[in-house]
Amino acid sequence: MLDQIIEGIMMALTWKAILFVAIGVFAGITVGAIPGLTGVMATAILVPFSFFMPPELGIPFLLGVHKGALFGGSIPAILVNTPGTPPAAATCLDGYPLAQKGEAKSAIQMSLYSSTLGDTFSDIALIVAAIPLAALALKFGPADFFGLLVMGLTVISSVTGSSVPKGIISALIGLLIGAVGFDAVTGAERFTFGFDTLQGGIGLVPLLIGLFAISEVLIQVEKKLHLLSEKPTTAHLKGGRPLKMQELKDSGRTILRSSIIGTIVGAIPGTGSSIATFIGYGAAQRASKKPEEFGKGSYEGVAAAEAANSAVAGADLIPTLTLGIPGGGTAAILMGAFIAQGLRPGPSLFEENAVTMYAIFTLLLIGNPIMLIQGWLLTDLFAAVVTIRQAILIPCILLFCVIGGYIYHNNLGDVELALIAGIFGYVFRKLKFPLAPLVIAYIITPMAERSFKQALLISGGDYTVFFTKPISLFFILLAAVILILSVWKQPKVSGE
Amino acid sequence: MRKGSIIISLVLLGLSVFSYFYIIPTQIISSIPIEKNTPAVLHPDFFPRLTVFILAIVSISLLISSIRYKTDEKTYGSDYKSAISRVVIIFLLSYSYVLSLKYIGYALSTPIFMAIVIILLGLRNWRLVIPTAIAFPFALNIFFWYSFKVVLPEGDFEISAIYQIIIGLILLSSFTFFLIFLERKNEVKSPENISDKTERETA
Repeated sequence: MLDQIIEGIMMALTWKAILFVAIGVFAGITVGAIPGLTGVMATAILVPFSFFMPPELGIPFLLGVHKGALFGGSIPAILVNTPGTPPAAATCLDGYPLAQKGEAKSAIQMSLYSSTLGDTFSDIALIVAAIPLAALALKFGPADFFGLLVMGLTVISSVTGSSVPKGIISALIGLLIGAVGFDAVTGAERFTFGFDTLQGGIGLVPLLIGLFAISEVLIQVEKKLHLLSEKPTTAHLKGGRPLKMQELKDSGRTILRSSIIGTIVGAIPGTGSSIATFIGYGAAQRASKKPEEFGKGSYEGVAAAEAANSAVAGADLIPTLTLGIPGGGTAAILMGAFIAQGLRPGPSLFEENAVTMYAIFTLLLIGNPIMLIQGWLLTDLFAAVVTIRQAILIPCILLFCVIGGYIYHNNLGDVELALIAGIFGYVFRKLKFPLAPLVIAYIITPMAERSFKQALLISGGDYTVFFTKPISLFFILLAAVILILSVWKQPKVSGE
Repeated sequence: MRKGSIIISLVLLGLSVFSYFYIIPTQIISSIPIEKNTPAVLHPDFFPRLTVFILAIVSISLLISSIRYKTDEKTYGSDYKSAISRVVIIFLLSYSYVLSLKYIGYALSTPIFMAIVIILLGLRNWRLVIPTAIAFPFALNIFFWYSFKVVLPEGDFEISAIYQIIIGLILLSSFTFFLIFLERKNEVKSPENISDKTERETA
């Protein structure tokens, strides 16, 4: 094992791999800094680029994007009070008041430091937890694995979105979309409606670009015309002071607390950074010596929100890599990219591709100082993105989506599919259905179907197999408990 | 949105019944005939049937919960309607742009598409519209060729790049001026723009 680790580290420490992490971080921060555009979207439109790179460069590039987008989201939150990504909403609460006081620069630096620290913490948690967890999951039989997938999907459907039935419906639609194309067992054609493009299934890239990027663009288009066409008024970055060492030290405990919260919340499938951020922010306010400053421009508030949201980045990958259940929307995209690169996330990943995995872990850690340096040197550049008119940015992003869909297989049919997925995603969002369960279910469909069929073949068609095996029974009971608990709580949250 | 939820759940319920009895039997075609004694699990339609069945049950539960829990009905103003129509126009525009790529090619159709979208989004300053609509697609074209060796759709014309740029430039500038001219004319009449302006002034 030690020689594999060393080999992995050597594989990661090439100037090319490090350069691609750096490019990824840069692209992630830039897209994240566009007001209103999410990190999931940044990853979705940048995924096709990674297919032109070998896995040991393409994956680091995407990991860089994932990291960068979470920090990038805080820049517009602080400067214009519009979060770049939904998790950065909590950053607005304190970041914008600080910017109004003329302390935008130090607020962004606080966000940068706490993001980097939170991210590093969760990367370490990922590295420590991944191998034992994968080893444990390797002992699972097909029935146990199916139970695990059912539980994962239940958690995802219950915690994301506003209503449990809507979450489950979203996941079920995802399962049906995943079934399109050839059936792996019998070779039967399913739901192709006579279209050749659909024979290989609905492509990952067109689906992701449509659901996450094009639908997002369409939602942005709804804004009032003068908001789109005029230059956004931003707080001034110039004349601000750099962050004092003492201020960072004062927030040390907060950053650690938020990092732990973010890591735990992130490791649970389906719970994204938005939840982690608000839990982290609330906890910091309760524990703070100056809780009255929260919401009026507290550096601790910025640190609490940013550390928690970035800590999700690494932790999201724990269930993704070890169990093959994506931790959230971005993790689902990363998993799709892993599969496309020939690395199938799941328990056997660490057996079959141990060296590549160690290389990826090394690059994850290296990405953090890279983000720190870029954030430090290029803050002004990233802040300039915030001031570009949306009327110019939106068509550029739309064009990017079209080209991204095209270059996947040099096929215009994929672009049409992406546009259709886009309008579908837009309607879905408007009706308040969460998108994450759909994408996660779509990704795990082949796995779920295979383990389901294997389990029943082994048992000779006896359906009780899922309830007689202890591990499988445990997961299914857990799923039932989660479902009942979340339905119970429903009326309090309101029917919407 | 109680009424909305009821409609959605009814639509979903209808769809799942329709798929169970029509789409699944007709759209799952096995190339090899399945033997009679094959266990049901191995049939290619087993998993989709199960999924659709659960979908029907969950739709019913959504229907029940939306009847039971009353929430405020949202009302949508004229602002909302104009926003939705903008979404629809941009979507249709993008779709026809993608279709046109096959025939006219990237280099000619993209600048025009970009210019229309920018103008639709309310930016009327041609000093910004024309350079963005030309420079950005051109830069992307070069970027994809040099870094990934990807040729973006060339269309049926296959004109050399330099002519494409010149023709594109002429087409685009005349087109942009025409659109801006049209928009200026409309601006005086359209009530939406007037309310937009007053809002801006009050803000």
